[in-house]
Amino acid sequence: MSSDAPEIKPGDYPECSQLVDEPGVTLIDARTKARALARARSLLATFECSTGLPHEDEVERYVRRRAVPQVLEHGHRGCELLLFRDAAGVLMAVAQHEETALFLREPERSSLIVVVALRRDLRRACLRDRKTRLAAFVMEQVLERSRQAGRGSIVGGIVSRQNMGSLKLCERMHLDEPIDIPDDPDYVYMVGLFE
Amino acid sequence: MILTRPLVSKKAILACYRLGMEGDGEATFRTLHRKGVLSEGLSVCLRSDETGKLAGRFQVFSELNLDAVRLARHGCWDEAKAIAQRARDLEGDPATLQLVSSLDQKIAAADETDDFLDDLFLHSQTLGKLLTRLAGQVEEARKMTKALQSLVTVVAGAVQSADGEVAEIVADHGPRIAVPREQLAEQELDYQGAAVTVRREKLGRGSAFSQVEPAMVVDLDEDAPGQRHRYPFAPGEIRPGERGIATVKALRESAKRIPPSDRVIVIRRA
Repeated sequence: MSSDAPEIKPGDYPECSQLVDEPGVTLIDARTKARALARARSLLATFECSTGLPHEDEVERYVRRRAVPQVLEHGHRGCELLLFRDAAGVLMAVAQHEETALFLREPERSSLIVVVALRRDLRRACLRDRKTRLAAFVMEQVLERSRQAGRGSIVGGIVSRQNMGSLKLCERMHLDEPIDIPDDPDYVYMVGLFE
Repeated sequence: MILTRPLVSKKAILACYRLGMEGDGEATFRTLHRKGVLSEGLSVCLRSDETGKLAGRFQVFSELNLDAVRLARHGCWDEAKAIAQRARDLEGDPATLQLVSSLDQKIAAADETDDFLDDLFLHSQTLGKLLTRLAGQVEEARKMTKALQSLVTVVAGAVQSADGEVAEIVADHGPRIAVPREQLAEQELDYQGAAVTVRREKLGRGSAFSQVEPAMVVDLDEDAPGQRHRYPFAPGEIRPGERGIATVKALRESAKRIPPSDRVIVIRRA
C-alpha cells in the first residue's frame, strides 16, 4: 500500500512540512501485564487529539478513559490497542481493533477498527519517505493486525459523518462502502473486504 | 488526576525502613510490629473465576506505614506509633475495604503482592472519588505529624521530561520535584507522562534518600454505575438495515478488496 504511492510534496499539504520518523508500535492486549497496562493508561490519560469539535472530543474522551478498560473487558473479542511512539517514547498516535458481530442475515464475525487517533499536532504529518501520511501509516498497521487476527474478510469502522478527514482516510484505505446505521444517523459504517 | 497508591506491600515498607536495602526482613518486620509502629495490614484472598478455588492470598498495608517506619528509624517513636494507629484506622475504613473488594471478580491470579497491587490500581481507576477521599485522609494524617513535615516530601505527578539525566515530575496542583532519570528507568517509568510518586526523606548533613514508585491515574469524572457513556464507534455489535445488507452482498460479489500491506510490520508487545 505504501511503496507505490506518489511522493507527497510540501505544497500538497502545507502542514506536511512536518516530517516524522516512522513510529515504533507497541501492542497492548488482554495478556499484557498490569504494570504495562497501567503505563499505557498513564500515557493515554493526557493524549490530545481533539481540536474541540464534538466528535473529536468523543474520540479523545474514549482514548483517555476507555481504551485500556476496553482491552481488558473485550479480551474475548481479541481487542488490541496499538500505541505509536517516537524514539523518545512519546505517544504519536493510537489505534484499536476488535472482533464484532455484524448482523447480516445471520450474525457474522467481522473486524472493527474501533479508533484511529493522531496527536493533534501530528494530524497532517508525513513519514520521512515523503510518500506516506502518518494517518495512513497508522491505519495500515491496524488493518494489518485485523487481517492477521483472521476474523473473516469484512472489516469496517464507524465514523462520524462530520469527520471528513477520517471519511477520506477510510476511502483511501479501501474502506469505501458506506453503510447507514439505522439507530445512529450521525454515524456511518465504512466497510471493505480483505483480499 | 494522579494520586499516590494508598496501599503498599511488606517489601515496600521494609525497603523504606532499610533505605532501599533488599533481603529477608522477616525479623525486622516482626520487631517493628511488636513495637507498635506497623499496622496489621489487610489480608486479601483471591479466588479463580472459573474454579472458585483460592488463587492467591496477599497482605497489603496502608501507605502511612512507610511514614511510620521512617519516623521509627529517626527515633520518633511516639509519632511513629500515632501514625501507625492512623494506618490501622484507614485499613478498617469502608473505603479501603471497598477498594480491595473491587478487584474480586477481575483477576484470576497474581504471583506477588506487588503484581496484585498493580492489578488493583489498574482496575480501580474508575473509583476516583473513593481513592481521592483516601488520599485526602492520608494527607491529613501526614499534616498532623509535625516531625514528618520537616522530614519527608511526597509528590505524585506526571513525568514532564525524561530525556536528560534528570527527570522532572509535576503534580496536578503545582509542586514539582526532580529525580535522576536512572531512578525512574529502574522502575520502567522513564517516559513522558508516566504517573510517578517520589518520596524524599532528609537524612541530615546534606544527604537525602528518595524512592520512586508508580502512582495511579484516577478518573474523577466516572460514569454512574450502569450508566456508562456510550461511544457510537465501539458498539459491540452492528445491525445494518436491509440496504446495508445489500451493500455488503454487492461488495462480496465485486472484485474490490483491500490489498495486503507491503510494509514490514514490527510490533513490540508491551
